[in-house]
Amino acid sequence: MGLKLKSAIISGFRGFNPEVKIDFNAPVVVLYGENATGKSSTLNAIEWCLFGSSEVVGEKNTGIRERIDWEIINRNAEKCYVEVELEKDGQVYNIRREKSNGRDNIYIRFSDGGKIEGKKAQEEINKLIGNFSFRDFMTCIYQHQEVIRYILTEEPRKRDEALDRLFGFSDYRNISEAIKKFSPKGDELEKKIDEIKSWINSRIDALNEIIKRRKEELSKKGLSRVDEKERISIAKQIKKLIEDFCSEIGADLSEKFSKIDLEQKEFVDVAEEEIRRLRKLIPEERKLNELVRRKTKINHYIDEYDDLNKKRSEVKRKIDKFVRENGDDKKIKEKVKQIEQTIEALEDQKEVMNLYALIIEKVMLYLESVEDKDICPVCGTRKKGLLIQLKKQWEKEHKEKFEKINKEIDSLKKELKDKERLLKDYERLIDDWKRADEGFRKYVNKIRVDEKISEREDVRRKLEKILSELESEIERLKKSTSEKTARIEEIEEKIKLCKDIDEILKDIALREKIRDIVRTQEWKKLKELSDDFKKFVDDVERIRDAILRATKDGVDEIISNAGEKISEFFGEITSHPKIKKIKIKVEQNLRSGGNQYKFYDENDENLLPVLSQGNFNSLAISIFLAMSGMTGQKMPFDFIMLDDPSQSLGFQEKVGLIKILDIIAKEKDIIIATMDSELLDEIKKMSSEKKIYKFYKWTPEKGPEINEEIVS
Amino acid sequence: MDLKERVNKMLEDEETKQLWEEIYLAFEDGGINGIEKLLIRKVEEIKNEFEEIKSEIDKKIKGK
Repeated sequence: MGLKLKSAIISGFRGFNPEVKIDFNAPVVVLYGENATGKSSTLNAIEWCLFGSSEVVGEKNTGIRERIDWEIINRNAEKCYVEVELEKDGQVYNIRREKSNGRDNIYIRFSDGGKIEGKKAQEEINKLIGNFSFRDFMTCIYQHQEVIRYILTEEPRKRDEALDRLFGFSDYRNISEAIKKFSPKGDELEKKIDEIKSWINSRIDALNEIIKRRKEELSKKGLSRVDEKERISIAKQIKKLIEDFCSEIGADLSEKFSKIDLEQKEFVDVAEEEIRRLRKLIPEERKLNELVRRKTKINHYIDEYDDLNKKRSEVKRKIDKFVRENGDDKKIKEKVKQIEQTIEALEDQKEVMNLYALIIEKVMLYLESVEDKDICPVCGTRKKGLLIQLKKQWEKEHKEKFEKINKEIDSLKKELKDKERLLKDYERLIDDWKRADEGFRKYVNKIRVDEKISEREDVRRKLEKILSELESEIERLKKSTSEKTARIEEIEEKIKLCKDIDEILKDIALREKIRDIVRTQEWKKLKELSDDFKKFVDDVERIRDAILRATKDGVDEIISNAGEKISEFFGEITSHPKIKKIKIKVEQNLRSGGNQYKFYDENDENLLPVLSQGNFNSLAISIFLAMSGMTGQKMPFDFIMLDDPSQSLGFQEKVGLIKILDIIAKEKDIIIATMDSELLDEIKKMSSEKKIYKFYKWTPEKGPEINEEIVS
Repeated sequence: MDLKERVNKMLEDEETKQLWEEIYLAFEDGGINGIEKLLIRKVEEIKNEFEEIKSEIDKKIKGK
């Protein structure tokens, strides 16, 4: 006998809030109600009470995607608890699991009043259910509605995956999928080693080329042998030459050079430094350097003198041109004065004319106001047509003369402005001249002071004379130092030779060092790591292969034990007129490596193309029912739980399912959660004793209302 | 026979069995992510050591 489920007390768990007690003391118990009224929560509560949050929450163990964000405690409750009463061989076990503040706690009460909790309680439960794991519970005791839904998928690969899970191989699937995602190439590091090898070879080739070219260059200079011995021999010659040169010019060897060992790498650099020092110590060379510096200075004086003088001359030329074209400032000023006087005379003339005009105007006004317009009011003489004559005279003489004088004045004023502008231009030119002349004179004075040139002498000529003397002296000195310079150059040539040999020897040493890399411990370690990597990747692949083979073997084993039963149940449930039996065969999918399920009828005809959604639903239920009653499988529970088993079943298929359940109910208690009224009607027809709970009016605060329906 | 034992029996090499043990434990502790982390960590360990030595060799080839 296994454990029978007697009752469940639920509070604060998922869809439940206030405490609810449900009795399961009948062979068939139906939880009936619309969607989301707490039916599945009831089955989940039993599952959670027995196995705890670490097993039932999340996708990891369940393989159910909907459980990723599962919340155990109802949002309107602070804690939750579920207590299930199990009975076996007259002994009653009240298992209670509580959750608050993120922690699970578990208790067991026994018939004799004894109570244990925590780890001990969990150990007692494990003892009670033997080695029956949560995965076994999912496969054989509790048929989850999501698993049937996954089987009904159109996609073959996903259906195969769901079937693996239905057969209890969800862990196999999950691990195999996780390993498959990891896909480095085993020879990745080996390829990198090959790259390094090829780099080593190309580097050696390049160095060979450089060494060859340098040797050829040295050979052209008469050096046939390039080795350390030859290099030391040349270094010795350099040392001797430098020592001789020092004594010749009466200088001492520097401390650094006298101490340097010929074999030292730095010998060449120290010798070069010594030559630079000695060159400066040659007396003629020193004098020569001074003369060259002086020559540069004189040349600079001449250039600057010429430049300033040129600027001054240009200003002078501009002034001359201006005077030629416009006269000098004196002339312009005279002209200005003359224009101003003319304007003044014309203005006087205009004033006199104005007085005369005023008289005529008044006479005309008077004549216009009197009747006799022929008598002059000034002299009293009578003149016929006097007013008309005066008007004509006014128009002709005064107006015309006025306009002429005004025009003349305007023209003179314009001319006056031009002359004033010219005066300003002239002043500007004079300023420029003063500046240029002053700059030039200052510079000439500076040269006179620096070069001690008297006021009587012409600076430019004097500078040219100095320059000519300097050049002669430089030429003379150059001739006298040429012998010593040739000696220095000879030593420098030797140093260059020594330097070239050093470079070649350095390249040869580097080439040997690179050749030796493949013989070093580092290289060995690199190879070891590459082998380790390859083995690791192969091992991972071997493990995946073993998992896939184990899955296939496992499914084969189940099919060989329960295949007949699955086929029998399937034949009973399915309404397909031609399919009365089903044979399941498992093959390894060559592409994914996973299991591939194939279905055949009794004549070995492939059924896959003709199986409907209802057929797949029947198959899923058949597999579950067969697994739950599998011979050889020790079942610690004497009940099974089916959640929405008729999702895609047709009426005839529901009738078939109920027929099988009626048989199973004689051995095991059955709890069915459903919203299917057709299925409920069929359940009511079952011969087994049954209890029906109706779930309705669910709210998040109060959970479901549950009423027991009396079944006759 | 459970998964761990079933797969273990199919493996021959002791090192492979040891790795399987680690993979299984990683799955129990952290599910699929746990396996991914374990495999990536193991690969990185080898690769990092490899890269360190490689960079030393690179320096030698460059003559540094």
